[in-house]
Amino acid sequence: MISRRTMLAYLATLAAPIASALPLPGPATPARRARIFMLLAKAEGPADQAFRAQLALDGLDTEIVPREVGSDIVKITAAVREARARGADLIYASGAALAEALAGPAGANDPARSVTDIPIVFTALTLTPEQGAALAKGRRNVTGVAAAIPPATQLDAIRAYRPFERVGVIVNPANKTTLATVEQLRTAAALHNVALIERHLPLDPRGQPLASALPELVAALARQDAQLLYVPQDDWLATNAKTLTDAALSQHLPSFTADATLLRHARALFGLVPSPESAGRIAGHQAARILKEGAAPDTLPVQGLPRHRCIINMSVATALELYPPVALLNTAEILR
Amino acid sequence: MKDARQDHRLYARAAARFIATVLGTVLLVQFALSVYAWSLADQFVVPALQRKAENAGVAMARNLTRAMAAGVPWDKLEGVQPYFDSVLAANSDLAYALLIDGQGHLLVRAGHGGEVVAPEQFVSSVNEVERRYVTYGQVQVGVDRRFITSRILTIRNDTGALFIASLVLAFELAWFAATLGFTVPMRHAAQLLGRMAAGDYRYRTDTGIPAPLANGINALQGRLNQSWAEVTRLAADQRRWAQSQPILKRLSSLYRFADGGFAQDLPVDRSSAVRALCFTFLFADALTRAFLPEYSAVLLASLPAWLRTGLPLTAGLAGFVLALPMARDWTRQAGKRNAFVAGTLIAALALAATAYVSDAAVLLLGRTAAGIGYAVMLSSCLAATDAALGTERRNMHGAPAALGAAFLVAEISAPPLGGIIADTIGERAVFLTGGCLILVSACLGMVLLDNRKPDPFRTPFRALPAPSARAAPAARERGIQWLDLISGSVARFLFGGFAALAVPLWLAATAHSTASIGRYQMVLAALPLVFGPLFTRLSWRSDAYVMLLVLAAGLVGGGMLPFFDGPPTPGRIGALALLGCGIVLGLAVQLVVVGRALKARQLRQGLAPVPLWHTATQRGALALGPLAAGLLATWRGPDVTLGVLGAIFLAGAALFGAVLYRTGKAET
Repeated sequence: MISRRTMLAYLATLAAPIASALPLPGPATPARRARIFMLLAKAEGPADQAFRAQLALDGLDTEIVPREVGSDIVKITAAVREARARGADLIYASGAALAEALAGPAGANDPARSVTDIPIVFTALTLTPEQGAALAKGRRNVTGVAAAIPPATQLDAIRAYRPFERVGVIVNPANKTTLATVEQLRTAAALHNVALIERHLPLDPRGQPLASALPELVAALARQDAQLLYVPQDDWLATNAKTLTDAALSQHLPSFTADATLLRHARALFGLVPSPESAGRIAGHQAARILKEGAAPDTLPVQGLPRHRCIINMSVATALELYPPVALLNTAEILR
Repeated sequence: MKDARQDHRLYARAAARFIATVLGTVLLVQFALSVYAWSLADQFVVPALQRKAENAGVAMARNLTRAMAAGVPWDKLEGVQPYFDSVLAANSDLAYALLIDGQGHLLVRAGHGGEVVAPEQFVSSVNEVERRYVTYGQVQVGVDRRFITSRILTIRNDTGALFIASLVLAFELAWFAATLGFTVPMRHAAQLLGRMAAGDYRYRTDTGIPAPLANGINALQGRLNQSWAEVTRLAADQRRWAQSQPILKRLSSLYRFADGGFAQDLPVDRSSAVRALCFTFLFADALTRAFLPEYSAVLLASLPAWLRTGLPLTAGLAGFVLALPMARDWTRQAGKRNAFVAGTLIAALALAATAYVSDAAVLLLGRTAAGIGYAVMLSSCLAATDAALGTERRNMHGAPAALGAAFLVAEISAPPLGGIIADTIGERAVFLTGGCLILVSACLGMVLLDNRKPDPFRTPFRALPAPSARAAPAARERGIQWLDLISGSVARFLFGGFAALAVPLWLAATAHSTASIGRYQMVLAALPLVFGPLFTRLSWRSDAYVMLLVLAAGLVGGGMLPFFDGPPTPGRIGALALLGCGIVLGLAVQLVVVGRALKARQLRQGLAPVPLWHTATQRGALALGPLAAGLLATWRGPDVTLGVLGAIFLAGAALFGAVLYRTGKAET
């Protein structure tokens, strides 16, 4: 006969491993906030704000440390050093130039020349998805969003407006990205049976393009019967956008661009532009997955944008008497 | 004959009444539902299409207004023509779209312009383009009344096809339930009672039937045999020997008893189970009948044109005929249930793979694997009927007849359903539906089959003891074998080439949709179901072989002629029906002649083995039929193919007639 006390002892012995397996309430340990170093080329833009907002939407408690480093390599190096010292969990790079500076030269994975120990998420509005994937290739800590629209898609948008057959383009030989874009444009134009007329900007002794040459180059394109001026994404061209588009308008030449600046602050007719907000949101979600779920950056492919914005400048269309087709107006964003 | 009539009174009439009641109820409900669906077309389809025209017009006018609001002047609206064209291209039910200015001038017209010639044929909606209280013009969108009529007709045709298909399916289900649950046990009990009435008390019913009546009879038989054993034991006593022996001798001459319990079980006729199990996979396979050649032609575009349509069908049939002998051995080793379930899994996986992967290699491998699966399933079904085949001579043709009936029911009901699924969801969904059905048949097989091996697997070639020692002359024997070879080869070749390939190909060239191809195939398959038994009975009873064969040749000849004349036209569907009817009549006559000769030979000298090359030739004809017809269709078109297949039938019938004449002469 087992006594009551012995029975209780047996039960307690049996219950001990079960109790140890159960999650019992204990003293709460405060979860460490994820620290993100936000490296910016200039002031925080819509993509960067959308990145922040998406992190909050994904329920991630973060401490975001913004650093405006421009394209100064000294400042970039200092920011990276600070990020390492403060134990940053992730670096966010805004812009293609910063992403390339952090990831290092293509093909190199050297800790001395690039950041390899901290995950990097970038948003690059001037890199196509293929270029973005090439940037992250072979680097285990890099992913992001490359939102530039491939030239073939841009040509589709151009031909949705009118069946333009002769397209002129002004090339900035000082910008390698522009040269790469024009190269892709040549291939796409051949496939679309579009004749591409190229005019290269002359450079000054310092290797900088000459803004004064823009009106003459546009006039030359008009003389060669170009029906449309294609303006590639290029910081120098964006800076001189007004001169360029005014020159085009004076030649009665409509202009197309993939840079929203030329539509909002200059007189380009229409354009197909990436949405920086969408790019920021996707990058924010990638960062949240890395920090929250522990996903390795190399398992998250560099993404493009699923859709783009078509913007039409109606004042320019009226001036040129080149009105958009009805079907395009259904989906386009109109600027008056 | 008298026994059969009594049996008929006992259970067959009751079963027929039961099936008729169930079918009558189903028919009533189906008819009511069909009429309701029919009436819905008028109530909903016409107004819905009119509403759609109005909605499209409103949306198009609104987009023009929006363009003007964006700053585009009315007279500078750009891209209206391509916009209207794209709307019409995306909405096949809209007939035209017009843009008319305030003065009534036509600015843009999209559509074929039929409204100009016959405006009364169109239902139109007018929508004004208005901005800031100024009306600039109007957008008119029209729907063709004939399109509405055609859509309603399509819906009604689909409803009718579904009605007939579901009725046939309901008949099959009711027949299965009544046969397995009532007719078979009753027939079995009646057989046993008949034996008892004749003084034979040695049998008991198969324990597989859990019927109270059968159990009662078994108990009665058991008690009688025990009493007989007790009587013989008492009679063995020396004191009663002299008195009991005459009585025992007399009883022994009048009655037959088992010495200990039962001598043997009376096996159950399993042909109804075979029919139910075979029906599922035949149905699953026939679901693709309406579109498989066309579907194959698209997927196998990289192959030579003559291989594209027929190769997948040939792959499936070749897998079937090549796997059949091996499947028999395997079924004997693994057991009927295990083999059947394995066969269903092979076939279901093959169909699922075909559904999920649109690839030429997967299609060919899937068809072959499905054929192998069907062969394993069929072997296990036939193994289940083996006991009945071996002991009950009158059930000798039960299983093949049940299989034939299941085949025809599947050929009637499956193609229209498959066509409707293909049109509404897609061809791949049809393969998936077939796979799911086969999985259902796996469950059915688990219930109806077992792994018991009480009887060795018997092939039909096993010679039975000859009731009569009189053997037929060698010339007549050879003649019967040749008749069997000719009729079997032609029938199999025409199934693969005519029914499975040439007919769907020809219908695809004339019909508008897969569902309509399925409907035509349903009608064409229904003709044999209606006329096949009639022709068989006529030729069996009246000995009018030659007359019926000539009639069949006349029908085929009349049916095939239009196919040699010009491109396909829908009007030739009558000629196709004539051709199909003639072929069925001719083949039914030939098979009856052969069946009768084989039965007579069996009664004389038992079953004789069939030469291997005869079997190989017949199976080869089945497998190569689609390939040969596909080659012909690529070379000369589906019309000529149908005509040539009719000619092949005529040549076969002529050869059959010649051999029959020579065999008859050899007998005399």
